[in-house]
Amino acid sequence: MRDIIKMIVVLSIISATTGAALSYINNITAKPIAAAEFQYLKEPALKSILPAYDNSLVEDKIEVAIGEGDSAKTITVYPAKKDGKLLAIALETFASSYGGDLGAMVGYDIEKKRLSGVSITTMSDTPGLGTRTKEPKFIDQFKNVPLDVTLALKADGGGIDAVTGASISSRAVCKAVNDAIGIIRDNGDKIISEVK
Amino acid sequence: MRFYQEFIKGLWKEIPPFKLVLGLCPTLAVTAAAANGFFMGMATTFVLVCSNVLISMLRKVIPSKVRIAAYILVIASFVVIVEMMMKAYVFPFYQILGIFIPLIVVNCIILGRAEAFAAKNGVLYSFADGLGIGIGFTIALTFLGALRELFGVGSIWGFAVMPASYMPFEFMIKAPGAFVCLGVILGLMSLVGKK
Repeated sequence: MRDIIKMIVVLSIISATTGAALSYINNITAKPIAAAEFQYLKEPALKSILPAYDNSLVEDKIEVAIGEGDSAKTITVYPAKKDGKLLAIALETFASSYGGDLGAMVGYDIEKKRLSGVSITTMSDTPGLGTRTKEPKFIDQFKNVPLDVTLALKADGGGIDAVTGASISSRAVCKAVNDAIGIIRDNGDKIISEVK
Repeated sequence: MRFYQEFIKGLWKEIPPFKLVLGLCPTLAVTAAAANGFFMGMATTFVLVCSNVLISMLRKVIPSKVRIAAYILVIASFVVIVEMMMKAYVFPFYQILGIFIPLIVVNCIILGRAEAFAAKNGVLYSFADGLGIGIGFTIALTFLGALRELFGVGSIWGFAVMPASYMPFEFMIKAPGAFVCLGVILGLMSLVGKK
């Protein structure tokens, strides 16, 4: 009996102590981790799809509430400015793909009223097949797309060439971009007014 | 004197993974380049030293029936700390090592040292043991990584050392290359040890 109590007490104390230590370290590292993830994952994607900007995207990013009722959600919008003038906005949308969620950062040029580009931020599809959707040959097809079209693969009656052997990944990119187009089409004015 | 012996044995006599053939999963998986091996080794060393010291301190408190559970709790906590630190301050290496960082928890070198050494010896010697074995592991991984990178890419630590005309032997940076390299080193080491 005494043995059992000792075991329970010792294990509980160790668990509580390690738990407390971990939450303390987590508090310290949360900020640097968020900054590192932004710097290494999001920023390269944003740089490649936005026109040259001179503001800090981390400091200027805003949360915008969109949709109503059940579909209401908050999205993060990155505004690209040059000399204080808003040039473009970027937002990230997700679609489920072959190996899990696929994230696409979609840039929208406000003056041209067209997409400035799309970049894949996260994906866990097959290397060499699904990951080839990141290559310019595929992803550049989304440049300069206006907001009044719905994108689809050629196999589905649209105008996008799929990556050979990766139609699921290609379709997921189309879906994520379509979502982004929908958000910008319905909420573009609201987003732009909130950025200022 | 004994402190020195406990430290130095990890560098040759019991160097993992060549002499103690333990911890082969990270050894084979992350040593495609010298720098990857080095950072994996450093992360493992940190966990090994910390867990050895703490387990040695607690060795008289932990009831033997639940010792493995207690060791794993301690080890897992240090691994999570390493993971968060790497994410925060050396993110590119976290991206390369990825899943192998959390897998340090089940690296049998660490549990092995806890069970075989730290549970029976004092704090100071456990520290020396952890540090020695950890540095030995780091040297082994870096050496293996350097060898594979040299033949597979033609560079060491990212710097080109082979002449530009060298044709990279891509087999070496793939998984089978790791097995072949490790096998040759194991063979050479037991040949040297026999004399």
